[in-house]
Amino acid sequence: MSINFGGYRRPDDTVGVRNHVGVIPVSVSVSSVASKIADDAGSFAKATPHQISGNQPKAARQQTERVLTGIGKNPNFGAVLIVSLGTEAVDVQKIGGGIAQTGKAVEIISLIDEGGTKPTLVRGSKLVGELNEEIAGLTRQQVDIQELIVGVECGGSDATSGIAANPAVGNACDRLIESGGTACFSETPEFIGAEHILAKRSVSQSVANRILEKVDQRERMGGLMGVDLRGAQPTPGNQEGGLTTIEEKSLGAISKGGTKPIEDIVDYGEQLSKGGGLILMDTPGYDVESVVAKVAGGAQIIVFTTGRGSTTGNPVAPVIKVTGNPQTYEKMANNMDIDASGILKGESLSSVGEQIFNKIVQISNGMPTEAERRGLEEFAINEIQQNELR
Amino acid sequence: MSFGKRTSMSEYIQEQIILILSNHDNVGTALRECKTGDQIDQQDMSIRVKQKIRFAHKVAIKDITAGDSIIKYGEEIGIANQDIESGEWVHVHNCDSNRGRGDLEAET
Amino acid sequence: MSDDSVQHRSQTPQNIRTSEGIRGNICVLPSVICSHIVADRIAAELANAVSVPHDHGCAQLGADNDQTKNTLVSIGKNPNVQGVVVVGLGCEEVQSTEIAQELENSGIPVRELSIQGVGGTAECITEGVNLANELKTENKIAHNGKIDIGDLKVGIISSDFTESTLTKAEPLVMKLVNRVIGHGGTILLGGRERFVAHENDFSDRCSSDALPEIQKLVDRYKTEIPQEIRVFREATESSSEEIFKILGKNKIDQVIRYGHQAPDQPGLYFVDTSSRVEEAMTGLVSAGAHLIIHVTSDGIPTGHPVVPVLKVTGNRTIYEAMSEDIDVNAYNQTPADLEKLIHGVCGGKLTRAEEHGLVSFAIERVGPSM
Repeated sequence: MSINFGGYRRPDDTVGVRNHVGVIPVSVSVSSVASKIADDAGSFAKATPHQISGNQPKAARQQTERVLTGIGKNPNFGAVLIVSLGTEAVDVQKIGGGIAQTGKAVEIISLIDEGGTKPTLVRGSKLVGELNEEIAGLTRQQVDIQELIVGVECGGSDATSGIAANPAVGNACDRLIESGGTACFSETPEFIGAEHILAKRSVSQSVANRILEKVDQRERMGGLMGVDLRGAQPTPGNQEGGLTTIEEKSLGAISKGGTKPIEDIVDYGEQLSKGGGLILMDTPGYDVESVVAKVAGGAQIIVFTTGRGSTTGNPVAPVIKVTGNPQTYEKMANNMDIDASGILKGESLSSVGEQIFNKIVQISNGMPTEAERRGLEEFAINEIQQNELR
Repeated sequence: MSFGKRTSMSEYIQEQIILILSNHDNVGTALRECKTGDQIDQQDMSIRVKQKIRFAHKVAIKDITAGDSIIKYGEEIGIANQDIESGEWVHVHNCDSNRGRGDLEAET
Repeated sequence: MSDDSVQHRSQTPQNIRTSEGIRGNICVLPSVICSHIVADRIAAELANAVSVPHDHGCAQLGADNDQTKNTLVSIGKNPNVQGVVVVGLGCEEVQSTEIAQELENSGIPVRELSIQGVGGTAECITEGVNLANELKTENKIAHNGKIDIGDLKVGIISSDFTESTLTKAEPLVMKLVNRVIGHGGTILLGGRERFVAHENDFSDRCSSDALPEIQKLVDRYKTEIPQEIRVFREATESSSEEIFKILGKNKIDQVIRYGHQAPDQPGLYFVDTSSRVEEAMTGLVSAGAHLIIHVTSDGIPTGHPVVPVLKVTGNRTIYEAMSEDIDVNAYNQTPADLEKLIHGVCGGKLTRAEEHGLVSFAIERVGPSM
């Protein structure tokens, strides 16, 4: 029995669960211009503001270009307006061309060509309206759930995360993968202590080796800042809460990805494949940057577990918040989508996992998440720092 | 004191007090605080609690020998550094990490 | 998680801020990216508040984490800020309670709250507005806007070193530098590429106190700044006479670390920022700038939420293309025009950036996100 949802079929055969016009600034210098264009246009326009310079060194710039392109390609965007200053080293044409390969309409606007802020706001507004006219008439079509790529994140973790919300979301990921979809989790620092288990679950030696290599790199990055990431975990607060070893903490974190074999590990913002099973992505643990990476990789939906009550969303993809802490669910009900705390009272993992899976389908069909209702759309891109490049 | 609601002298309804994440686990996680002497009978295990176990802390659900793996999520989370009886609290005092502080074995 | 907001006690504030501002706003200060939307919405509901949203405060380690925290505290102490509402999420590393405590210790009127403490984003917005209205701030616009340039702390940042910047715009700004210092004011100059690209040529441009400090930062950055980035290339390709001309007749008295305040003594300070203007402006505001002069041959239009930013360009093409975004052009306007404009701005006249209202608030990083 196949599971369907109603999605927007794009020219490149991907499917969106939303039908927005993206407004993407190329550099920090025009982020506020992009945000203003989108705010003035209306809720169909979603800006992706960030704080990355237009003149990074090449090695760092490649990641930024990949992410901006991937964000534009995400099937939740039906059309895209790119905003540039005009003098950035970032290859704006390459980004525009990359996005246009999906077949969606792309416009590029430059502050210098338009003649400054005001004319850019005026023309940007006009373009966004025109782009929206092109896509507003599209209707959802019934498609199979294997069109979905779901990104999974955890943030604001507490003692309930590893025993309730994460395993429950893992159960939902297993169901998604069994139905032919893709699930992706990331946050490489949280693999530390359990990387050998991830390696063991990999489908090939080369994937296993890459996982270990990425974990090693993240540990060394911590070392750059004088921090022993391995030795510093679990923190005193974690230990108070019941976590004994780093293995236990990381196993609790990776349980959010479920139990399936690991097909691959990709780089920050690299494209994720449809029907790809369980895929890891190498990202920092920093929530907002980590979510953005998966969305740039093509995830149309994010499932985000939080014990303490993270409230962040994303402008491109709906973020479903799952908490296993009953106090958090009660206190912050307007920012949470799923209460997984039933597990603490004996409800089965399978039962809560099924609820989460059903919620994924509902949200894919167009039901808004609490973050979407409140317009919570945080966005940040990871920047490769100068001391990492040495 | 034993857990479970007695509806009548002949019935006994179990509540889940200890969460066990995998069949291979030798520790469970307390879903509420347990006191010394509590007898916990569940479908998946039966123990007599030997010490106070706080919410989300671990309790041994089998006897564990020094040097054995502590298993949770079906995987080793550490090594027992002393013998541990079923019903004892399992934490930093009797469970050592095997992958902390850089002295880890390279395993693929 | 935070419960009580930090109360303002009626006692004489410690004498940390002796200077008054030229703008008077409440600053709604998110301690972390996760609370920035709430901060924006609180500020939007108030007549006299600005928000300083940024992308950090979480997953930062060591010196990188400290820099974000120090910067946010210093922003709260800027003379243009009349009071602060600190907004946190609750579980982040850069704790809103700590920032609020440091501000309170310095005598700044402050309130604090967190999304998790209050219990939700909508609730936090409502409570944040209430707390802002509790702040008893005086209208502390210095001298009702009639300022002598010797009263000012002027921040200066050039985001490039193109020919028009070095041969036209900076020489014009240099005249102002001389005037401000001559009248007993303060110049806060950012942009370390200038020094790193000319490491053997600045010993006579620094005081004996400042020289070893600048030498230290040059030694650190010369292996870190990639040679290929545009602004560094431009700095290298210029002569040392051109690159240091902006200092005028003056020597650098002292180096101020990013995110730290300059002392309340007049002089010429070098603030250790990059030339990435959005981050550099924040460094200058942390140091205590009342206003910023941004020299740009690209026409980067963004302002800063806390201080007025004046755009100066020597690039005729840019000026003709984007004249509404530029305050002073250096090829047919004069230093006297710039100084007159500054007087006007102190008296309430809006800069071009204030007119369009688009601002950026970014903090320089010294390490990777974890």
